[in-house]
Amino acid sequence: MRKNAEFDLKKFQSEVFQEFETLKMIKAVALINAEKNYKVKNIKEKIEKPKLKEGLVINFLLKIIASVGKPAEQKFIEDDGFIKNEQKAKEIVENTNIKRVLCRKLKKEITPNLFIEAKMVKIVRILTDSLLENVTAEEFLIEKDAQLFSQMAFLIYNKGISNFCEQRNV
Amino acid sequence: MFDLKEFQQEIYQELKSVKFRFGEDSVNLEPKSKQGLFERLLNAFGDKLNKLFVKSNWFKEIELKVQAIIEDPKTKSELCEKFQNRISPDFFKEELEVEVILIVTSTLRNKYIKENASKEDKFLFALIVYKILKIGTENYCSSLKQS
Repeated sequence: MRKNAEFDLKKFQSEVFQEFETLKMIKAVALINAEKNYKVKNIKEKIEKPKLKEGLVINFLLKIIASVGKPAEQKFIEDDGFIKNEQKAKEIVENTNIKRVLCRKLKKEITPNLFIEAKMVKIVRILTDSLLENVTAEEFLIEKDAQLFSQMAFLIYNKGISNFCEQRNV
Repeated sequence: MFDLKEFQQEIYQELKSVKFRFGEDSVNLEPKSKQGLFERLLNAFGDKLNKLFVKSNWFKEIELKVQAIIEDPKTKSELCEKFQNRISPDFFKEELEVEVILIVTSTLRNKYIKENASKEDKFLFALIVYKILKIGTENYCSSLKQS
């Protein structure tokens, strides 16, 4: 990669990871809100808290999280920049050539024994290493935008590596 | 049965709270000058609680235990061998944290955790990871290179 004096790769990767964590949290709030009765058993797998105990207190806490988080969730998700980036992120990661490059690395590095954040870190590393190279970035007009990269990371994470890479020729 | 992956996940979360206790990764969204009175009061109260926690006997005992573990020559040599093989200077902050958690937990859990990890075990491991990150893996292992 060409040296860019102003661009700090490590800082950028860290920003992508933090945006990715925020995005996951926002989507979890959306999932809690979508479950009208806030029944723990219906959402604990979706929000990746399989051991969350069922009961009135947890139910009450979920209601509070959902109502406090809802305005932030809407502001975030309805933002024009967010919607534009989401669309662009989809186009990039679903491009056959890009997907082939990503999947080769994802299949090799994301093993089932990794805990959630370890998987997230690896996805960020693979995305930034693969897509910030000048040839790819210029060919697909990929900007060095942490939110865009976090949306790509979230799309891959949310689908799961096997689903994301299951298509033929990938 | 002990679930290493779940334990590592819990250490990652616990590390966040350890950093918060030490006044790092603060949750303040606004610079101090822009904070309202209520926010400033809340932060001052939080700081006070964190200071009390760090001064507590419970914390001091665990801190001594951590110091003994990370300075134990055999442990240090086992950890450093893995740090040198698996940690790259190119790692970004969270990547480094995750790798140190993976190495510390997989290397030390058989020695220090019997069956189920208690709340204290999780805090102990998070503090081990925090102290090593604070020193820096290179610095931590530099004494080994000299000897």
